[in-house]
Amino acid sequence: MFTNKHSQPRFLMILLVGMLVSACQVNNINLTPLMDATKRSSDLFEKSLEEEVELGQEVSRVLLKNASIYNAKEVQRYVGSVGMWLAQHTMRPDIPWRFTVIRDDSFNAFATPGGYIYITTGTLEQLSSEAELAGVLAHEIVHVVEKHHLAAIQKEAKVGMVADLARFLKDSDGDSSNNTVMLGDHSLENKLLTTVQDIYSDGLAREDEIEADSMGMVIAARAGYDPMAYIEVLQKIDAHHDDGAFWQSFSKRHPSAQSRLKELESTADRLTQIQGKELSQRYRNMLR
Amino acid sequence: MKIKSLMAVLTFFLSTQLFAAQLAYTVRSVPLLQSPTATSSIVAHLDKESTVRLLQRRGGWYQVRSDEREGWIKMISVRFVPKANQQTAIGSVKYQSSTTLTTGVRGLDEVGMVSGGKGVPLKQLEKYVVSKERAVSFAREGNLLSREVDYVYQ
Repeated sequence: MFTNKHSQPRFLMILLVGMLVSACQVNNINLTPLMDATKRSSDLFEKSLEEEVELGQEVSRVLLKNASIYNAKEVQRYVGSVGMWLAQHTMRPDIPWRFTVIRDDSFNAFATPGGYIYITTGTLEQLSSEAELAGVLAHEIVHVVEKHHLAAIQKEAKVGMVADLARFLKDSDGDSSNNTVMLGDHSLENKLLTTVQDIYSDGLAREDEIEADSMGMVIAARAGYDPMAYIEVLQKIDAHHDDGAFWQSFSKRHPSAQSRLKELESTADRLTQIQGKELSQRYRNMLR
Repeated sequence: MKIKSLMAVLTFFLSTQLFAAQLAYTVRSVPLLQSPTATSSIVAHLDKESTVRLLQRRGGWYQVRSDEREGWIKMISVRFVPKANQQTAIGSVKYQSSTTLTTGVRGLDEVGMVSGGKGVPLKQLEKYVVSKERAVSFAREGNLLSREVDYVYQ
């Protein structure tokens, strides 16, 4: 995901961001933990797991501000067990994985940096086996393992900050008294919140989704599940794509299940003969 | 019979029937095979956009029925006919669900937030943490065996 080659424009951008962040502290701007977390992980090349987890927690707080947890310990532990078993078959088995079921009727699953995975009750209702659940969780696990959201947040935050800095330099023209006004007007804190919300509502880059589909199927296969169950999940989604007007606006912003299935052909061909477990009965016993 | 058992039987029956009623169409011309292996003998050739009825899945293969012929095709070569269209086509029972299956496995809804609750404190998540050891014994209970599989690069 991240390169160590310091191209000059990118390196300059990081320096500029560093300068801006320092300026914020000097001017005693009261930034939120989200700002702090993003700031501390703003270096593309040095990023501790602790910082990544902290950012993931802050993003989770933003996204779950109006959510409700599914209050059924057995189901939570079941989903957590499937997720943790899958995570053991990735390059990041030791990060603090947290799998949580959110009470929500829509079909949705999402991840935040550092190992936070969420899935809705509506999704559990639609799936019909543990292998299908594994496919969905593995897809989200890949987003964390490959740091897709982390990279997207850093990229967007930096673009915004550098634009602010350029404007600040132009506006202030050497007058340091304008610092606080500029920062107050443009509210970096709000910009970061908007950035996070945009990324989670617009979705990741198409190639990140395709990568998560393919790698997720392999991770499910490694963990002993039938990886092709995930294809069936996408086929179900594809068949529902014209249910209601909401899908029409969504499909403008996202790759369709149809195109994702097409992209998965080589992965499906490779994994077709793998004999994995479906565990439909265990799933039904837990979810009924 | 206990209500719980009755519900389990009913759920199983319904899911089997729903799957049996699932219609699909081929996205390319494909061979209809005698058995679910690539080296199997060919029963017939299905044109692109042939309608098939799904009977069962085995690994990456669907057993299908098409024009009174039965055989196996690769599951990736079909797309499901939407339920709404199927009702017209085969008059099956309408599938009832409160779930809106619209967004897929990816981001959040159009406003980017989960709604309908009072918020989830992160410390609540810690109540449900599963240890590695628990995950391993959970896998053993389901006879899940680890295997080595390489990533597939597109």
